[in-house]
Amino acid sequence: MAQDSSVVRFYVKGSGDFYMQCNGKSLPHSNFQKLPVGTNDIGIWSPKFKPLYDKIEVKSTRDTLSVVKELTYDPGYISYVAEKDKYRKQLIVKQTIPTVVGLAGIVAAPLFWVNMRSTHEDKIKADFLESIDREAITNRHRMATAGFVTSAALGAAGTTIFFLMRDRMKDLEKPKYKQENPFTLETFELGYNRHINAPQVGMSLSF
Amino acid sequence: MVCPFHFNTMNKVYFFLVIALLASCARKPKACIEDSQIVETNQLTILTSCSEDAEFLTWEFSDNVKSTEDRVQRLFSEEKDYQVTVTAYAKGGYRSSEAVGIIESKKRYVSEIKFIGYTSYTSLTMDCFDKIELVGTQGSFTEEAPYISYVYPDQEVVIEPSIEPISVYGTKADETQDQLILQSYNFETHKDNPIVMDNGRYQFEISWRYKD
Repeated sequence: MAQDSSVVRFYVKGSGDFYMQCNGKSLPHSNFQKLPVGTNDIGIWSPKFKPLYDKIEVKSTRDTLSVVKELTYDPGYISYVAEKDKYRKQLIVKQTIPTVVGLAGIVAAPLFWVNMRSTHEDKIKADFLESIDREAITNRHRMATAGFVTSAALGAAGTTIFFLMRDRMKDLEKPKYKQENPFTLETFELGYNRHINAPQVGMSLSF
Repeated sequence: MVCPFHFNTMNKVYFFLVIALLASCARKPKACIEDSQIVETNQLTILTSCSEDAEFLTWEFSDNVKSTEDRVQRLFSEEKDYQVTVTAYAKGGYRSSEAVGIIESKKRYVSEIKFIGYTSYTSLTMDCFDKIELVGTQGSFTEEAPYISYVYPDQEVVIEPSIEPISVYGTKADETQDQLILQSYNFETHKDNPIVMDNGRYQFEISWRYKD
């Protein structure tokens, strides 16, 4: 009996997870497809990539036919990646760094404050008694004072910047990438979760 | 309408920072020391301050002795007035106040000796840091009519703050001597005035005073 179809194995460079259609009909989600003998119009698509349309010639054979195709990135996705990097940098500069610096300053300032007061008492006593280690005590006090001033300044600056930038960050548009599966009714979406500072993926069906 | 007391988040943060800053401010301490106090020369003395709200104190004496203790234990070796400046510091030492006092370091001088009893001795000798001669002691002396000998200022007999014996000898006309009384005192703690010595037969009262 003559075979009217043959098994074709697809090797798709760029993505391991791809969708296919043959002659306008969606194929099962697999890289092994049973295609009719003859010339077939195939389409390959993977999220983030441009759909690839081509013709393949399927001959009647018992062997599995191997087809190698290469997907290229969707220009929209490339711009999304650039926007995402830019957005992430802005988050780091305007939110993460002020928060970390401000919190570090707020936590460190009271510790330095206590140390500064304590060493100031020691300094007064050492100066008064003309103690031989007063230079060392004076240096300790200087360090504690510098630590307090620096941490208080960082705390105040970090907190101020954080609150000033918080409203501006709300207005900052999150990078978004949306692509429709050309073979189904699905929509693939990539957004950005600012709380975890990472992209988030979504799939939706449109009817 | 905008509420005048409406605080945005930023103002709240600054408000709490100001409150925290104010709460951390220590009250200004009030330095205090007695204006004038008398201490015995050569006796280890503990000086205390009546300062309020002080975290620590500094003491500076006119003889350049310094201390940062709450209570100063020291000895004044000279019989003179010492000026002391007490500085009270608040926690952290950023606020302070000063008080000045005078410490009068004085020695105790035997001022008079009173004797009650009957003796056949023509004179009595009291050996107390120095010899004090009591003449004309033959006879009977009562509480109403005691024998009194004034010592200071003609003779300066100092009662030192140490453990010392006081003995009294009687001298007869033939110059023979008898010990009438012997008693030891710790003059570091014994501050009674007069110092009373009584053995049942003889009673001596040694009064003392500070130098003018």
